[in-house]
Amino acid sequence: MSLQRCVEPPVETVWIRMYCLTIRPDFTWMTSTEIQIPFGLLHRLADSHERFLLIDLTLFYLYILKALNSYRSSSQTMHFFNQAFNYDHPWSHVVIGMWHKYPNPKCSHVISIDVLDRSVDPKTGMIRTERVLGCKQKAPTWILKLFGGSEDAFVREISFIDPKTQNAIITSENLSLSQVVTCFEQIRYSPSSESPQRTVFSQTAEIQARMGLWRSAADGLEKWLVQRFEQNAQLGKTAFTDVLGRLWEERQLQSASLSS
Amino acid sequence: MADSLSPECTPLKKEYDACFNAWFEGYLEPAVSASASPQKQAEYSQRKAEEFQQKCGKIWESYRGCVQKALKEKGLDKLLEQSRTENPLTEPPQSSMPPSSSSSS
Repeated sequence: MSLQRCVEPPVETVWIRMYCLTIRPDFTWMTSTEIQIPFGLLHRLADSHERFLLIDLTLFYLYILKALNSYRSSSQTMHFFNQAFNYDHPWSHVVIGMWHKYPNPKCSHVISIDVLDRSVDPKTGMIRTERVLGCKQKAPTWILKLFGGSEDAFVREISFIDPKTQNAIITSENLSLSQVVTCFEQIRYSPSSESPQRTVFSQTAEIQARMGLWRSAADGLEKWLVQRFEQNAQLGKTAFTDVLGRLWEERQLQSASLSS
Repeated sequence: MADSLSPECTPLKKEYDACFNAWFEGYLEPAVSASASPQKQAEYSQRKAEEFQQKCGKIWESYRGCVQKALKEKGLDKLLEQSRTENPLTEPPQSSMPPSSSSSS
């Protein structure tokens, strides 16, 4: 590191605060050191010492930690509920139409459907169908790489059609990436109470992270982050201690030589 | 209808789908009206279930066999098995909220 550059007075007069973060095991964090240094000086220090604790790197880690923290502190399961929606068709038409839903240009992500099982209950008249749907994978690439997902996403769909009660219940859950997260969706079609020519549609979804896998991934990431921070903090401390020592030593010498 | 996950099963799938749809469209509305009387409903269901087996049983066997093979090739059979173990869903869910997964990782 060039000593000369650090001793030069900074050009910019803007001051910034730089925080050293300590991450506790429960993912909360605290600032352990607050350093106010001139912006220009930080630039020079950052240029000259690669592993110095950089502002943008701190913010990046902070962002990741925040995301992980909010994820872990929130409930394990996320629930969604869609408002009921009406189709202007009688229930039987909607249920017959169910089997013709794909392909359609608005849902181009569904590329294959196969029936795995189908049974008609001779006593109740209920029809149970189990299908597997193949969808174009929409997960981000980093998730695929991290958790080894395949190209196509597959969904297992089970439907119960009960003509006795005029209820059709369709549940879907993901097969792909199911070791990581399960998205469990349930749809219900039933005749509208307002008119037999209308059908009510309601939908709920439940997303559950497989905490085991997330936890180990999060733990691994946390450990690595803590190590990095500690390393960087240590390096930063020693580097800066050196800088400060030399800076003020130089100035002392300078002022001593001036006065003598 | 959409294709099958394996192109070689697609023609079988289309034949099976056509068979089911034809049967189903004839089944549903009378089933709703037959529900008015439990005896009628039971008799109707029995008859129709047999009819379905008769009409579509054969194509179902061929189609099913093809799909099972395709699933194995794609490596989906294990995932399917796991999903079936955790959520067999042999009965319709009781409440409007889906049952939570039984396993904890």
